[in-house]
Amino acid sequence: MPTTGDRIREIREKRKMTQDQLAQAADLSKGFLSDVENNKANISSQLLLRIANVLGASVDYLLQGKTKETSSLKDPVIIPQELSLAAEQLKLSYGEALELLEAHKSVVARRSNKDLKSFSVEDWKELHKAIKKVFG
Amino acid sequence: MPQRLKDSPQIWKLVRDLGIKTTPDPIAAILHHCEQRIKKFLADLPGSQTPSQLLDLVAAKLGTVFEVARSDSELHDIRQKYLSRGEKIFSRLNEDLADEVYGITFKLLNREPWELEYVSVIDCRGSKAARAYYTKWHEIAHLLTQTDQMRLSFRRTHCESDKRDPEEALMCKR
Repeated sequence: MPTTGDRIREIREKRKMTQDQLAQAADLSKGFLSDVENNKANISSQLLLRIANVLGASVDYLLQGKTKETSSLKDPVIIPQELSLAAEQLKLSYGEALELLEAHKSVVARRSNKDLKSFSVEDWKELHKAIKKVFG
Repeated sequence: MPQRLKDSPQIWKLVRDLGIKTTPDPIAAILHHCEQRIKKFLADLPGSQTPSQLLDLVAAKLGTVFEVARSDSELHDIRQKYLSRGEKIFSRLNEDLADEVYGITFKLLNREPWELEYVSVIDCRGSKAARAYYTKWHEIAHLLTQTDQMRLSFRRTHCESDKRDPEEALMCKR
């Protein structure tokens, strides 16, 4: 059964990092990292957090090999009226409209001093334009 | 505590969505819910002592990482990093972080199972830097109370206006 050390090694290799690079970025010794990866040493929560941050990995995954995900996959798809209008004007396919909706939904939280504002037809068109400019 | 926040149907819906049974005070119940979650995180990963360490721990347990932009150049690098991973919403990052937007949390759509689920971009350019610490906690507060993606996704926030959204006002509670 894979251990925390095994998972650190697995992700480090996927990130194409050497032990030297990871140890340096996480501010710990290469020898200690090697011991952790070879299951010869236990790692404290603070050091594990530092390694997780450098690897961009979930702490839960490193500890347990699984993550707790909040998923909205089972939610019914509701196309907002403004998006529907924007899609019609831009002649977008259903798939393209869904892609736009998915991108927009990836904004989970935003701290701002602006007043509440719902996404307008123009906002959807602007978002489409910005994505198209980068991704074609 | 303003009575209207306590009486907001949106706040009561959040209470229900969080699975809180019955309570006469929804604000206190939600804050208690958040405290309990943080206590559990501390039990899972003991040893965090400073506020900064606690912030990192809670962020990690909630599945987010802070990407801090102190200059236009750093913001450009963050944008490029996530665009290269196919995260389309980053196409508008510069526009989204307009004058009065301090931070945005994104759910990553193209990620490995072991990667963090979210990224919180904290704008620390110019005068916004002074608010960075509280901006991070604001983003954390959203993730602590997240129950449904749709409810969170179609709004902007306003922490200082009287016309603020009830949930946004709640995020500023201490």
